[in-house]
Amino acid sequence: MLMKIIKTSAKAALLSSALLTIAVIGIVNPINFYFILIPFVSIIITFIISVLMIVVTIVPFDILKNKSFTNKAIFNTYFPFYAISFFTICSLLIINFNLDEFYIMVFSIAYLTAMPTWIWFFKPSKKIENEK
Amino acid sequence: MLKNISLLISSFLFSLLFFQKQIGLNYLLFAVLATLLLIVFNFNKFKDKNIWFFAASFLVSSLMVFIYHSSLALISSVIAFLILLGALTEIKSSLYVKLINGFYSAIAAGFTHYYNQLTNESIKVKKRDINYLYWLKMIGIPTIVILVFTILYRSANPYFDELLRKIDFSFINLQWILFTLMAYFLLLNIISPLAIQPTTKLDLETGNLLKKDQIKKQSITTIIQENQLGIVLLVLLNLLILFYLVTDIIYLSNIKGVNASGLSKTVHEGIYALIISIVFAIIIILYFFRGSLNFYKKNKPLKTLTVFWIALNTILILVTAYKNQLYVSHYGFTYKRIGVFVYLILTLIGLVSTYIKINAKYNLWYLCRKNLSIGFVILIMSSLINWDLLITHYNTKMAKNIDVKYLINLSDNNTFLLMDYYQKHTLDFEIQRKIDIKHEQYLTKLKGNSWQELIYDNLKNNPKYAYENN
Repeated sequence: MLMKIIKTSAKAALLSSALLTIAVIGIVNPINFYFILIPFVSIIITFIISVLMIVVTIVPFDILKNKSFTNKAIFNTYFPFYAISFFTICSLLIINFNLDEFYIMVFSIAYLTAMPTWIWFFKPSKKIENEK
Repeated sequence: MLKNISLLISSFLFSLLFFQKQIGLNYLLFAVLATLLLIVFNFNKFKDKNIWFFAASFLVSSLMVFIYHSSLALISSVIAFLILLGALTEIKSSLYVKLINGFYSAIAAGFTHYYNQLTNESIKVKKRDINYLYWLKMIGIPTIVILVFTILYRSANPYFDELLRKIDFSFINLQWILFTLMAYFLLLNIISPLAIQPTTKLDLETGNLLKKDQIKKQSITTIIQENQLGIVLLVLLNLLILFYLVTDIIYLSNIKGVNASGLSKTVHEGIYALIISIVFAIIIILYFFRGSLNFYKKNKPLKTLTVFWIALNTILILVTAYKNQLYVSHYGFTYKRIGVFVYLILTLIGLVSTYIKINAKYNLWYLCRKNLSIGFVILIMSSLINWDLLITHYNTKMAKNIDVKYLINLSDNNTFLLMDYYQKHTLDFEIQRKIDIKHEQYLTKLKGNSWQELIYDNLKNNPKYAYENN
């Protein structure tokens, strides 16, 4: 489980850092040479946030898993509600911060990272799913 | 292939329409584009006539966004769009399930399609696992090394440093690229809408009728006691509301002059009383008719009293509507007063549906389904009305007292009508100045609109208001 969390967090951190870099370069003008540093700094922060987010919001669903309730079943049952709740919370936070460009960027990245994280975390392992 | 090409072209069009633009003609064009995409990719589902009703609701409310440019039209249009998406996932589902499915499709269907692709066995066999560590090494290590050496060389050579400073990436508009990617993601989500399986399945399995074998069983003593309690309670409540109505009607018949604050107090107090009494009425009725009492042979007195109570509540609605109308005829329309009428209509519908529920032995889901469907129709219909223009027209032509300051604070939709009123009447200097400012600002705004931001007022024949491309 620990390896799964670390592996998924690493992927999430990579994705969010990439998105963050593109977004910052897109917003800030003119582009400075030192902007190349952004992904390397942000990856550490996003990795920590990803671990926390996965442990708090995704791992609890994994506990429900048993022989009949596979990864796919968990995904199909809970992912829609997770996506709706996450999107609503991010939207409300953006509104709460008066549609500020910075917060739109942060919460959009959070949403766009959280969704694939579910997919990576609940990706059916070939062995188990083929047996089914 | 066709799907990807269509999506790419549509994303570019989306960016062209919306990137750094206000809502206007672009929204209507997007509505047409989205509907066309939905028809192309869900052609079979559009053979159902009911889908066309939802598509028409979406297109009509989008047209109203272009014509009136009002928040209500925009909200109605977004809701209609989500319901259309939900209807494409399962036409037989309830309206609220359609709305949830539509919302889910718009925000996350693409991810679910991707997950389903991953779980597909044939793809799984072909697809090899990506070695993330390998790619991290291949990209990360060279980048870090290059970065360190570049920093060192910059410090060592001022010409090299100067050269690097001159590098300019400003020609790349990353914001536009991100916006187009987001558009691609949105369109990818909407072209193949998905249902939330557990919710949709549960909804389809739940009928409207109360079934004797599905309700919680109660002993006959409990049913008799509940029946007696219901009769006593409803007799008392009927007497109480009857007494209230008599005093209210006596009060109304004795009104001689209409005093603004006095009438406002009675109307609003009437509304608050009505809100509480109707909500209580529906809760009490639903409590007694939640299960076994529906099938109890001696429930006729209770049913009669319930129907009588519903009828008295209907009279209460009519009395309150009359009071509101009295108020409106003297002091004109405001959003709050229109809100009172809307609430009264909704309450009346709620009471009628509760009556039908009891009479035909329907369940609670029936109430939710019917009332929400009617609510949706009312929402779409109300988006067809230019409320600001209606309020201004009524208040300037019919009302006995006019609050011009209130009219000035409404949206730009009443600007020309207010100007017309100002030219025909003598007004206070301060009011004249405010109307002038509003008019000038609106004209400047119209002239500044790009073709994507055009609204109906831009296209009016009057050359003064006509669209001028800057």
